[in-house]
Amino acid sequence: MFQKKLSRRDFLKMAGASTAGLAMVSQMGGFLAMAQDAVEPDPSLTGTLTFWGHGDHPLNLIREAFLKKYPNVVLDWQQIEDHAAKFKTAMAAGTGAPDLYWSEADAVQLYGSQGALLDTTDIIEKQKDKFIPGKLAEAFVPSANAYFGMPGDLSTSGIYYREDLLKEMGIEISDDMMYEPDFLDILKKIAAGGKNAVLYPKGGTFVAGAQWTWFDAQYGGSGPASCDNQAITIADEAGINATKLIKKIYDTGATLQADFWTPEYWNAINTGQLVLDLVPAWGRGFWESNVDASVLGKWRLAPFPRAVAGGSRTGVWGGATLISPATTQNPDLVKKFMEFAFGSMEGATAAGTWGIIPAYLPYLEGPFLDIQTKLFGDQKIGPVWLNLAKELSTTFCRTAVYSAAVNENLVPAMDSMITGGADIDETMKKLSDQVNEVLPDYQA
Amino acid sequence: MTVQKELSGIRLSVPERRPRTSLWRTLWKHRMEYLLISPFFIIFGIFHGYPLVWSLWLSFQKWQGIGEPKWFGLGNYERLLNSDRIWNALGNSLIFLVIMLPIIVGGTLILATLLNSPKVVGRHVFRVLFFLPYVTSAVIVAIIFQLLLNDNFGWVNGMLQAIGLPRISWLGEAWPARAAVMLMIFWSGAGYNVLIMLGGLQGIPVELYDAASVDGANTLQKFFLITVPMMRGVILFVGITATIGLLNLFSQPWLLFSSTQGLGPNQSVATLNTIQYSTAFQSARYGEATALGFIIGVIVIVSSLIQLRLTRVVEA
Repeated sequence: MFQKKLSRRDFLKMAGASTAGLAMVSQMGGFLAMAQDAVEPDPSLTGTLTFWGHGDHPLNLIREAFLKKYPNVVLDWQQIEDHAAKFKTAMAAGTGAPDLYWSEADAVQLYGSQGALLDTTDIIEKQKDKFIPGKLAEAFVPSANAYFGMPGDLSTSGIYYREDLLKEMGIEISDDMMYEPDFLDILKKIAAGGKNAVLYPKGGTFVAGAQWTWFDAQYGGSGPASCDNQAITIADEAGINATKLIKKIYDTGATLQADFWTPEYWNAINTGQLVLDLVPAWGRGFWESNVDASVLGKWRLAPFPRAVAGGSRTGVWGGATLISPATTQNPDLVKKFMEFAFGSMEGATAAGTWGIIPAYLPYLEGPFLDIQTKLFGDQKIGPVWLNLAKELSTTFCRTAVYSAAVNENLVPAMDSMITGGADIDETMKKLSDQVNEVLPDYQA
Repeated sequence: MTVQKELSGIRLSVPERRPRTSLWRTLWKHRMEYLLISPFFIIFGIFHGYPLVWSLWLSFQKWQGIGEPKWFGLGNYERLLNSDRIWNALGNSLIFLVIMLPIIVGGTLILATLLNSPKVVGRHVFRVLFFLPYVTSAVIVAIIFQLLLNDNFGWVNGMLQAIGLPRISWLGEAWPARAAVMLMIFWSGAGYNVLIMLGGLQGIPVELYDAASVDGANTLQKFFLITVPMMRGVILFVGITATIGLLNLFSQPWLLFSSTQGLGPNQSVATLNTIQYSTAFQSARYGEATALGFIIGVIVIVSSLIQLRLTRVVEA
């Protein structure tokens, strides 16, 4: 077997790298230990809370941290894939729902407006200024003038890109660029170089829904409906511009025909075929679990381009709120957990360690700024996400009609506009009429 | 039954009067029998009867799964019948029905005939192999099909390429997507129907085939002139159950095209059931979803009645 002789230079290199690695690990360890050492168990708090959510959940680390502090509380975690349908069924039945649920923003509005959720205004008001306003707005239900739940993970999104591969193509990603012409030009260059950037799977799928949601917010739209849920705005100027931007991106020829988190997607990342993508912050956890070790550390993060001059450099897609049904038998314990999970340094640190970004400013402006990640290597991503979080729109809303508008109507029609040649203005107007018809169903 | 009565020397025949028995008296008389069969009716009433009646009532309401339902009259039905999505889904269901029904009935009859033939070596093993997919979880089957039919890494495209044929975007284009769903339906459901057909085939007296052989009938003649007519009842059963299954198609498109919530490329594999599920559990319009359930029910009943009537006409 061939054995390379270790030169003095190699040895020094290895020693240096090891020292740096150890220093990094010890720094992270110390940082985690700092959060954990500060914990003093409180055995006086008792009770049981149930939680429903998907597997490999950010709340798992928060659960561990909570149990360290409150060892006599029982946290019954039920992680099932069909949790959403099960939760809706339990809510419809009026019984059997868990104490805690990881909810999408539109469900907060739907159930909150009907008074079916635990009012958390008291715990939010105590530290309202400590949350990112754009995320906090998702827990506020205007018709009830109250907060329902605790802001969970930030849906801030950015560009993930391979700096090394793009440099070879003579492309540099700036922190401040416009979609037109800057970003579209970059995509054209990437296409000319035989690589891919940004996804557009056949059929559009939820990738197109995500893109529309991001871009609509960036064009200053309020989403598919106005924030008071009184008017459908899916085909307003921002909505139409968002769809046209998706088409312009598709027309550059750079898009990869793959869906999020599919074998094609991971393969394109691992082989260096996909060199740039638009990804939500919470996507990092999935990336780190799925991409090859060989590409970890090679990716970089940048803000989205701006859609309009002076506009936001981030959009919203996904991002949950921790809610509790009004029927919970443990309202005090629920609030205690919520405050711990996303309104305390311990909880926020655990969430950040998992990979999501909590909306808790003391954490974001503190330890998060120095967070090191496997995916982004030595890049300090904390400041990038923090700046983008502060740019999150407070006028973009996912009201109760959001899912019916985007998932039921817009997404299935998207492909006809992007690849099928259907007139965008006309199709969007038709979609608007369709959603308008069901809007009264979603008004409290 | 009559009794003879004599009245003023004239004989009259008058119907005998039955002793009047009330419903309650009959029930009381057979109380033990009714008591013994009552668990079925109680369970049926609780888990089928009540939900059915409640769903019918709900189909005339607007309800988001929370708060009080609001009366909407025929609004849900009107909305559904005016929806392009529903007509598109119905069209897809009819495509699946028209293509798959003859394949399921004809294909499983042929397979069963082969598996019933003593000339086929290892037919008992094949019977088990054919039935295995039926007892395999639909989720696992869908995952395997996704891997097999993957546009870039799928084995099917790999094989097509190996023999010099172009790759097909099985999960990305409308008709290949429909073909993928149909393939999955047949592969996973054939075993059950083959089993039913085999049961029917084994009930055909061997003497009929022997007599036909003596008369010089060949294999095809025996198949069309003995097997098919003798299997009419079984074929009808398989046909009706397959029709019901195809009109209620849900798990195959839903699982195979999970990223588009069962719609597939350009909504090409959307069925009434996938739309119904999304309407209820994604868009939280439960009244509309139950109304769609009743529409599906009516379509299934009507199509089954048509099949029964057609069969009677053919028999006559």
